[in-house]
Amino acid sequence: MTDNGFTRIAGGIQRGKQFSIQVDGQPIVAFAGETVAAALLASGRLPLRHTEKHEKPRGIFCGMGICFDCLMTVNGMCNVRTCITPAEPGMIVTTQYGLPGVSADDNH
Amino acid sequence: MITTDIAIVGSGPAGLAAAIEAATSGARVVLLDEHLRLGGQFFKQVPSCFTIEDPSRLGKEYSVGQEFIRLVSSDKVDLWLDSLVWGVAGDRTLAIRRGSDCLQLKAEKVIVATGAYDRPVPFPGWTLPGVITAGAAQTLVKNQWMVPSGRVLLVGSGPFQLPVAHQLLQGGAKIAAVVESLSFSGLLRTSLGALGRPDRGLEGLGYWLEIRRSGAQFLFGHTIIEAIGEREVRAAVIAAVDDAGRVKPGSERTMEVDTICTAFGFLPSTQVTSLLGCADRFDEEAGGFLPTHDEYQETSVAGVFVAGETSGIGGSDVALAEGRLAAVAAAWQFGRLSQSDVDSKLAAIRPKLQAARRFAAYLQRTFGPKPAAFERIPDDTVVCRCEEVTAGDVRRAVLDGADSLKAVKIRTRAGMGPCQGRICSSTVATLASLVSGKPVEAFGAPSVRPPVKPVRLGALADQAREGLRRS
Repeated sequence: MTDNGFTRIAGGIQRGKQFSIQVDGQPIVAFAGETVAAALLASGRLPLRHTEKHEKPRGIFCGMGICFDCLMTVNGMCNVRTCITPAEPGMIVTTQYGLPGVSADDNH
Repeated sequence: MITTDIAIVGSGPAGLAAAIEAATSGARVVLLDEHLRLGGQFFKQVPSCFTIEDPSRLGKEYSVGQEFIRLVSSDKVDLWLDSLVWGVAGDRTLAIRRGSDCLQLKAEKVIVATGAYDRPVPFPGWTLPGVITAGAAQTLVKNQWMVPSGRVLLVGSGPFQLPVAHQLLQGGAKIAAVVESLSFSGLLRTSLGALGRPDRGLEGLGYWLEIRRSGAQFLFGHTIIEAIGEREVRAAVIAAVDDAGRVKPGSERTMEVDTICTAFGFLPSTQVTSLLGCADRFDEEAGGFLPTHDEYQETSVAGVFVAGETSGIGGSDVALAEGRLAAVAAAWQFGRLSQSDVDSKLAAIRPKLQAARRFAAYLQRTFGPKPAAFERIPDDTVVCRCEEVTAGDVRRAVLDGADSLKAVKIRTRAGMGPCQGRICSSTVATLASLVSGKPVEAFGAPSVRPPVKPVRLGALADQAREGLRRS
């Protein structure tokens, strides 16, 4: 049994207020101060995008905004680095399959 | 265009130390950082909406960082957060995206303190979700207060694995093993080099004891060969390696793990110094090209200084000293400091800097990936994560005549994606060297193009419109 998600450390901290964001139509919990990628990890979800060429899942890697593997579409804006973008109440987040704005069918 | 006396790019240890020193000289200072909080990766600060009940739990870097941030905030320093230097628009003129606006900042002196990032070393399965850098693990635990739910494998080479393991354990994570590629006898043989810093040796020993007490294995002379999984990591293959980093046949074994944290050292972020036109030199131990600088941290471009990891991996003590030194030199050139002020300041900084550099050089010599780690990368393993270029693609391009990183990039697209080669270029250069038999430096430095990180066209267009209105 694998357990690839992340767990919020319980003691010693008060997070910001709790709210939900929508990821691919599903609500997930986030706390003010958390990044979009961290809220996703805590919800148990690791793959954040799927690559163009090999159609492989990618997750958070560098965690500091330099590797661009955590790109997702946030409130209609594509290619947002979710590892450095704070979650905000009501955010709409969607997974990118391949390069956004380009139909995958045009490339095969 | 906005003007200032001294612009400092990056607010980690080097940038903060430089800003505090520069401000005491009375110069106008702008301190820029791409992120939303000051402190950079070392003084990693928690989000402003989090309240920490016991800050001492965050380690001494946190409180030291808070003190620096307090000093810089109360001084005459203009703090520009969420401000990315994405290009260079002229002599010491930085093209900046600040929030959603684009603007230019012209400074009399520029101090580049852009830091470093985890050195990526590819292996089969390293692109699977669940394989993260040790830096990412540290950010998640120290900044976001979350730890991997399952079994964690830390793997790499060098002391950084130890504090990360400590922080993960403190957060309640379950560590299966910490895997260090240097052998125990190799560590003993080189330990004379660490005698200058017995405190750091003791710190390391303390972490080692804590890791062993947690029930985790601590394996010297081993490394990762493969990460296994379909959608996410479910296991890792580790193996024993000899002193040259070659796998000992038959020593491979599979460990069931859920998260793999890789720590193979760091690479300096040199994109901004490259764009500013600073000369560089190849550094064998750093495995890449570093900006050259004089004893005052000034680069080949007059008025442009470099401090901290950007000038070569040295750790926070080197960064703090270099940041102060660069700021003293910049303020002196400005006529803001007298010769005797400068002499007394330099006399205070230089001995500390030399000692810190000696210890950093020992770490660089002792740890870090060996060529064998790259030699064994299978042809079908992706090395350029953005463009999905494999090790085989790179090797074939070099065998077909590509004789520079630029030529490999044109043939394979390695380094052409949004990360601009930060992740792949050191690997590509090493693969090219191994397959051709030529030295790594023969393939040249990676080419850097603005924007160094993507900027929205709309933000650029707004700036252009603004410019037209003014003219």
